[in-house]
Amino acid sequence: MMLNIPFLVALMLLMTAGCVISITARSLTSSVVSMGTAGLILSILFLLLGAPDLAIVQIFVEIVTLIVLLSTIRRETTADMSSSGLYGIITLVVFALFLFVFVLHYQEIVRPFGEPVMTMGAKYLAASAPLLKAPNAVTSIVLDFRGYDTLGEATVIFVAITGVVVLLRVKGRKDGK
Amino acid sequence: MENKGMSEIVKGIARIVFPFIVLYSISLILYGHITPGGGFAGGVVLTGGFVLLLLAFGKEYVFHFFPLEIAKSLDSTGALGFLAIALMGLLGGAFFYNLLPKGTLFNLWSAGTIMLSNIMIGLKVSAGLFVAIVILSMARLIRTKEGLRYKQSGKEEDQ
Repeated sequence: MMLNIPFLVALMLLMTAGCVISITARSLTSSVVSMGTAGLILSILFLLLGAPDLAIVQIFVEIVTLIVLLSTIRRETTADMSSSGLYGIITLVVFALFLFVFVLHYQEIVRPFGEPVMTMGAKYLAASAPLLKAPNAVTSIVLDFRGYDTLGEATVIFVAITGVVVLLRVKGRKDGK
Repeated sequence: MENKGMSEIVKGIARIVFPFIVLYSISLILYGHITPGGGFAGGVVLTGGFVLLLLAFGKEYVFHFFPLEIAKSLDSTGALGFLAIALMGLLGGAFFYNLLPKGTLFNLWSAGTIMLSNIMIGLKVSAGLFVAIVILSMARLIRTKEGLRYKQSGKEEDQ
C-alpha cells in the first residue's frame, strides 16, 4: 500500500494543533472538543497505517471519552450547549448520505463470510515456532509481531497508575482537602 | 506491630504460601515464551502475593522490605526498559526488531528479546498494580463539618 506522506504529515500537524489547543484553551468545552479532534484523527492515522482493529478501538474509546467528559463538564460550564433544530437536520442528512453511500458500495465493503481481508494471522502462526523459536504463539504475537499493541497496553497501565497516584495524593493539593 | 494485621493462623499460612507464589510468578514470567503465561499474568500473580502479605501483616510490614518509593521507580523502570528493548530493534533496522540470537526451540534461552520483554512487563505490572492497590487501600473519606474530606490512613494527622 502506498502511503501519502504529505497527507499523513498534515494529519499529524492537525492532531498536534488539537492537543495544543486542548491544553491552552480557556473554556473546558472547547478543550474537550479539540482533544476529541486529536483522538479521531489518530484513528484515521491507524486506518491509513494498516491497523484497522486499532482504528475501531480508538474511535470507540474516543467517542465514549468525549461523551463522559462532556457530560461531566456540563454541570461545571456556563456555555450554552442546547442544540437547535438546524443541527439535528444537518446530522440527519449526513447520516442519510453515509448510509446511501454504504448501500451503494455494499458489495465492495462487506466481504463474504470466511474470507477476511487480513490474512496475516496464518503467517504469524506459521512463523512463530520455526522462525522465532517460541512455542507459545500468543506471546510471540503479543511481544514480537504486534509489539506496538503491547507498548500501548503498558502505557495504558502506566497512565492509569499515575492517575491513581496523582488523584489520591495528600501533599501538594491546592485546596487542602 | 504485634497486633497489626490478622490472626496468627492467617499470618502463618501467608508465611508459608508467599514464597511459592513468588516462585510461581517467576516461572510464569521466565517461561512466558514456552508455556502459557507471560509478563502480564506473572506480574499480577506477584502482586497477589504482596497483597496477601499486606492483608495478613499490615502495610508497615510490607513497606519494611518493599517501600512504596522503590515500587514506583520499579514501575517506571519496567516501562522504560520495555521501550528500550523496542528501541534496541532499531539497531537491526526496525522498531521492535528481534535482533538477539533465537536459540533452539523449547529452551529457556530462546526466542530473542521476548524473554527480556516479559521480564520488563512483569516488573512493570507487578510494581504498578502494587502501588495502585496500596494507595487505594490507604484512601479514606472522613466526614467533617464542612463535608467529606479526603485523607490517607497512616499519613500524618493534619487536623
